[in-house]
Amino acid sequence: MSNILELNQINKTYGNKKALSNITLDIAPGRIVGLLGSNGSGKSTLMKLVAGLLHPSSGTIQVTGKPVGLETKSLVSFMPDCPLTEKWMRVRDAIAYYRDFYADFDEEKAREMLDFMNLVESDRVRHLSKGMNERLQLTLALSRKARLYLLDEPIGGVDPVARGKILDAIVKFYDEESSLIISTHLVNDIERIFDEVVFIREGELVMREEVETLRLKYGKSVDEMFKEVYAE
Amino acid sequence: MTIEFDNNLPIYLQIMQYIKRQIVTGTLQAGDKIPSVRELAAELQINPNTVQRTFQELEREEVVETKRGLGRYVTSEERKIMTIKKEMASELLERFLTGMQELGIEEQDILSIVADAVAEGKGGTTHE
Amino acid sequence: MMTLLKYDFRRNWNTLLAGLVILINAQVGLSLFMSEVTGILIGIMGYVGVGVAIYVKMIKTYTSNIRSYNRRLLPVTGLSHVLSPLIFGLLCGLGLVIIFTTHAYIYISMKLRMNMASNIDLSGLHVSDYISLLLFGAWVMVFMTVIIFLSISIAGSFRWRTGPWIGIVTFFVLVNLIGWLENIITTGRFSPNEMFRYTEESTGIAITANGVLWSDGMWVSIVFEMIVAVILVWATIYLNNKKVEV
Repeated sequence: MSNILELNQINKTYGNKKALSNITLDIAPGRIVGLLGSNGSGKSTLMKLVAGLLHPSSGTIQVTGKPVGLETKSLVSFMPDCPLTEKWMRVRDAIAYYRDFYADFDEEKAREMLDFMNLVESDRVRHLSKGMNERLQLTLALSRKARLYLLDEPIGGVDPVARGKILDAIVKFYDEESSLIISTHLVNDIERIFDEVVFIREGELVMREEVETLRLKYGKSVDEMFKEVYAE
Repeated sequence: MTIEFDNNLPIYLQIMQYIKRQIVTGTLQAGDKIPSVRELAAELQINPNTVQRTFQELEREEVVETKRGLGRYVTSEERKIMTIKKEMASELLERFLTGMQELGIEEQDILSIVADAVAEGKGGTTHE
Repeated sequence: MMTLLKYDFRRNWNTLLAGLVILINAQVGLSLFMSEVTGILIGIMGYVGVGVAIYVKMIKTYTSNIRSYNRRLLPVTGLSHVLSPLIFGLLCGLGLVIIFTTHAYIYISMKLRMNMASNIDLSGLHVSDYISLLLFGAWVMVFMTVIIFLSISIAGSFRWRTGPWIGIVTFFVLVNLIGWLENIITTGRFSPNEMFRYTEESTGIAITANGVLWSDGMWVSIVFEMIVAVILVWATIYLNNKKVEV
């Protein structure tokens, strides 16, 4: 099967600042990839580019061979670091919203996950705590049968119990035909679910490796590698 | 099933060790069915591909076998299980000996220390 | 696009309902408690006020739609993003017009039945005039809105603080540019003052309408504007897809 994601020489500049330089990356299907970097390294920018929220200054991005655009929006499920729900919504409105717009939305799966995450359908979105909100956002993102899932900091700022639930959900709903890219700077809790990791520092791709190779070859955990790569 | 993972070592090797231990101690009997890739991945919260790799290695070593359409099972050959037990024991032994040597204990003393420890241990608690 | 529209309504539903309730209460209150002329004037001002509020709401809806993540991630065409707020505004406006017309009708019939010498003589108006006036008004609004949407998208294509200013400047440039072009194409401009004729009489004010002058000049003007509108919408969609960033 061909690659789910292909980034070719991606550059993103804001005025004088280079947010991303020369990023080239391929992701095969069935992979769970960790996109690692400190805050401001360019991880979110990268994800937004793939999701179509930003446009590259140069370079191409293709999702299952198609350039980023209207078609790929149906193939990519993005969970950004801010909520995708509108303030007037209740949980069940959010589900209906996704169901109405995304053909690949699996409503039953969503209900299952809501249960699993202890979310109540009649709750108002603006009354949810931060942790509950994250669970909801994740539910919405993962209930779609997308080819590529982009999760931007799904476990940051969330209590350990919620964190565990989120990791559980990610593993449970894994599919060999799709891939996940998860960006985080909390490496320790999550490194076990990664197939490979990509390190981004100051907009550049500094390392890309299979996680078990890191452990075999270097005898280091991803967490330790992270500290080395980003040491000041 | 909860395993304390060491993130510095390959996870798949650690799972292999764990499963072997379960077989050798009898928690998993010969011919028992083992969980599917998905089940195990979900239980341990690890990447399914890693679990897959674990099973592939275990199959290669003939510790487990796949029965088409039915799933994965612990090998039914008792001999194989004995071999695993011996392998694990000798690994343990090697580590022990190296450790003792690093402490500077002489070879002849090692034997007597071990004999004493085993005699004392007989009335003690067994741990998993 | 219909789904987008549905959600535009749902999002603004509370405000719309509140506005409706306030409007009706205010109008009823005015009819009951105010003297005739003042009442009518304030009443009409009330309707105009609500109309403006709807218009502003529509613009705000468009702006937030092209900027919010959840809308931009949706697999809908760029055209839908432009049309949905527009139709939202038109439908709300239509609702307002219906309420106004009903109110006016009730008011006039009541006056006639009571046989009071009304200070205002509306016998010069015809229904067809009224409708063509509404259609014309609607088109003017749509055209103006398209220009505003484009200006907003242009503003959105620039990241820094200059963004909004560029938008405002663009708006004025476009309005004047288009007006100037229209002038060249048509002979003479259509002026709103020619629509109604006010005559002061001793008994009060009489309003007769010339109606919308459907002359050749008018048609050319409108066709020209329609073509321009299509171009502007196309430009807006292009910008939304390629340049606007969050």
